[in-house]
Amino acid sequence: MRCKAVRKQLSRYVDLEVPPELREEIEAHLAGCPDCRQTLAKLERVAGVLASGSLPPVPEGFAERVMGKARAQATREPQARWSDWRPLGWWWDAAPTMRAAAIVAALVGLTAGAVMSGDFARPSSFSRGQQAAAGGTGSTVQSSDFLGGIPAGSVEQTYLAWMAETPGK
Amino acid sequence: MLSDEELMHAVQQGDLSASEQIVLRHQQTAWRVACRFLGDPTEAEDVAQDAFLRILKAAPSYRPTAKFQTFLFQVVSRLCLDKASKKHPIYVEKLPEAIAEGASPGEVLEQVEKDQRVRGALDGLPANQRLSVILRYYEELSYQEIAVAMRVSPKAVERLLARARGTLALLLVSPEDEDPRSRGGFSRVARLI
Repeated sequence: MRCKAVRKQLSRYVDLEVPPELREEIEAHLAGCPDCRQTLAKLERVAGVLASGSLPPVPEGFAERVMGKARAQATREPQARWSDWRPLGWWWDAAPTMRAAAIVAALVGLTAGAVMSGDFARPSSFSRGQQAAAGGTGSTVQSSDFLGGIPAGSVEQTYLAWMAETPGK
Repeated sequence: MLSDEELMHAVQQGDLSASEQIVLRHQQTAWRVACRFLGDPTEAEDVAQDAFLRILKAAPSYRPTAKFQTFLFQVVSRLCLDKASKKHPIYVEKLPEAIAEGASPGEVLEQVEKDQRVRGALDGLPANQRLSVILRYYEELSYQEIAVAMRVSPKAVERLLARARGTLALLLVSPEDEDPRSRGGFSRVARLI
C-alpha cells in the first residue's frame, strides 16, 4: 500500500473499523513508514486529549423534574387533543410537493372521469334508428338497459311509473 | 431486573414507575451527549428532558425492533442538531464542575485549561462532525450505530469522523504531545487526511 491510501484509512483503523486483511496491509505499511506512524500517533492522541475534558454530573433532581413534566403532560393530554384538533391536518402536514402531486392526480382523475362519462352519454354507440327500434327515447332505452329486470308490483316499478307520469322528468 | 424493552412495554400500559425507571437508567447517557455537544448545562438539561418527554409520549407507538438506547441516541441526536441549528454561541468561561474535591488551585487551573481546550476544539467543528465525535469517542458507538443515531449512512459517518479527526489533530495535538518514537520528517496532518 502507498502512503496516500494508508492515510485515507487511518481514521477507520484507529476506530477498529477496517476489515482484518486491510488491517494487516496497513500494519505492514506502518512498520516501514515513520511518516504514517507519526500521523497515526497524532490521531490516537486526539482521543487522549478529548478524554481529559471534564463533564459536570447530571443535575440533581433531573429525573424528578422529567417525571413531573411527564405527569403534567399526561393530565393535559385530553384537553390538548381538543385544542390541537385541526381538520385536514394531514393535508397541511404533507410536503408541498406531495400536495401538488395530489392536486394534479385529482385533476387528472376528474378530467378522465368527465371524458369517460361524456362518451357514455353520447348516443354514438346506440344510433337514433336503434333507439326508435327499441321503442323509445334515449331515456327509455337507458331505463330498459339498467332497470329492465324489475319485477311487476315492486317499489322500483312504482317509482319509475310515477317518474314517467310526472311532467318535466 | 426488567430490560429496557420490558419497561417500555409497561410504559405503554401507563405505568409511571416504569417511566421513572427508564429516565433514571438512561439519564446519564442523555445528559452526557447533550452536555458534551452543547457545552452548556442549562441547555443540555432542556434537551435531555425534552428527549425523555418525547420518548415517553411516543411510547404507545414504540416497537422493540432495535435496542432502546439506539432509540434514545436518535432522539437526543436529533434534538441536539436542531438546537445547534438555532443556537447563537455565547462563549462564557465556566469553572469545571467535575473536579475532585480537595484539588489544589493549580490542579483546578490545569483542568480549566484542558476543558477550555477541548471545548474550543469541539465548538470549532461543524455540528454533525461534533456529534459524530461525541458518539464515537465518548459513547463508543460503532459506525453503524452512529449512522442509525444520526440517520445517515455508515460511509457518511466515516467521512465525518475522518474530517473531524483531522481538524482535532491540528487543534489539540501540539508537537510536544506526540509520541517521540513515531516522529518522522513529515508532520502536516492536513496534508495527510
